[in-house]
Amino acid sequence: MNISIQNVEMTYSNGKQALQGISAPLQSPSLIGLVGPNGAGKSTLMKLLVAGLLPTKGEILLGDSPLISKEKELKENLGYLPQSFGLYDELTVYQFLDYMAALKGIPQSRAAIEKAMAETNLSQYKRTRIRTLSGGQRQRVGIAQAILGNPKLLILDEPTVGLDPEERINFRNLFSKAAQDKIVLLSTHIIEDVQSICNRIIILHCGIILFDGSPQELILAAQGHVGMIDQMPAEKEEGYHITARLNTLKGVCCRIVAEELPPIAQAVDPTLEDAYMYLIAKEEKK
Amino acid sequence: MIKIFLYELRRILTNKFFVGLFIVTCIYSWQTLSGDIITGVANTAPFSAWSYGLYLGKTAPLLVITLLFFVTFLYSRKEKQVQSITSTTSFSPARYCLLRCAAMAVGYLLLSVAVIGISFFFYDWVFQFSDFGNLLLPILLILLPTFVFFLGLGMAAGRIFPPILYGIMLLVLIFGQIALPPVADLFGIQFYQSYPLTLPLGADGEPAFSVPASFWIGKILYLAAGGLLMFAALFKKKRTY
Repeated sequence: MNISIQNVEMTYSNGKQALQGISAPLQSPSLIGLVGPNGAGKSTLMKLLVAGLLPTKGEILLGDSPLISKEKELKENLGYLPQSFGLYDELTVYQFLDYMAALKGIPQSRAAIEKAMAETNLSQYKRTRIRTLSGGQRQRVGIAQAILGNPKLLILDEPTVGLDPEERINFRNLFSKAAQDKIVLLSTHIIEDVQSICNRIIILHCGIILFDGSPQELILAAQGHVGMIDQMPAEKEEGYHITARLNTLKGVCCRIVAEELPPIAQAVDPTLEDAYMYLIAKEEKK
Repeated sequence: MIKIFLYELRRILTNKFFVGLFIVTCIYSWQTLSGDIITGVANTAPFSAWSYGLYLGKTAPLLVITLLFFVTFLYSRKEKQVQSITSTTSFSPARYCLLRCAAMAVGYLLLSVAVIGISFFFYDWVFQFSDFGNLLLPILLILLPTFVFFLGLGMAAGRIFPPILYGIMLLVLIFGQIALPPVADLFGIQFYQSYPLTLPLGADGEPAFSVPASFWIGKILYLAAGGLLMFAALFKKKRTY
């Protein structure tokens, strides 16, 4: 599968410009992490990709044709988990997935449902009514309906929200495995999720792409801009971004990102989170 | 497709509002039969088509309210959230909506069958009357246009602003109480009480069941309006907001 986002702009009717001329090719196989602060335009981009919105400018191509003319083809190959979604509470987990399988036109739905339930650790809740599930279990039902029928394009908006750490690790592995033969686009606030599985990161900020590349490239860009210093008074924090306060034997130390590290700082290897913070801080300073 | 229809039907029939309204409608039907209808309408027998028309006209508002409750399910906040998932499948939205309308139609039909079944049982039990053939026309004249018109109106209103549906429910109750000309009298409550008095009596001492052209025209107009509104509601505007 091959999707091309070309100079896409999206302005809502209230005048809010969510995306400003963004371009990016998406090719399978890949697992792409879409990262950015709240309001960066991640969910809007995802809605555009699932043909839930039409761009105000630019276009999205599926293969060589505009997405809108191939909407049916797109949806036949799509698994989508929105950030906020509802489920039919009166149905059981199996019934809801069966309903979704019918809407998706999945042949041999029984096997596909069993597989999706097993992968999302929901088999034991097969006959449980959705209204009795916890938030994390409902999220898993959402993920199960998205992966149902092994779609070629998997778009997941904040899929690990509400999951406990063990489940998050399980799902990271699941998405990583799934991405071997498809496009998986994963939007998240949790950098750890991206670091461990994504082979490409797109950082969105105020509707523009700040970075599009591998996690290693992003880390490399922050090299020399991350350091450790002893805690300083608040008035001296200007020009730095403290990413962590750490309790050490020497007392409290701060991990900082800065365009230029102060002489008292000891440079350390950046993590992906540092690199992300560095990039966002640099942009906000502009 | 059948599977989706069956799930939708199950969701409607197991809904607590439907169960509650079903019970209320059944009780109200029995009370109407044993109160207003048992003495007959406009000097006709209690089991005449005229009396039966009044009975259906009086129970129709409850059927319509149940139908409008079904329609609220299509436009509720919760439903919108589920649609964020269902709308990204390859299933045609118009076909999906039609399937759900079909499930609502079956729900309405089941409630109508209960209302009709209660009346048939009442007639047989109280009057040993079982010649129900002549009651078919009032059934069609009341239940079909009412269903099509209010389904279309409900769907169109629900798309524009869902809370309007509750206002329509209130209007339905008022609508059943006011005197309207035959062309506009959807439930026919006034019509079935007054029109037979203007007709000559037949050999059996009762006016034959025949409705004026204006009444037919009114029903056809309601059917057409309902169909158009339904079509407008099914035609979904696309996604830039």
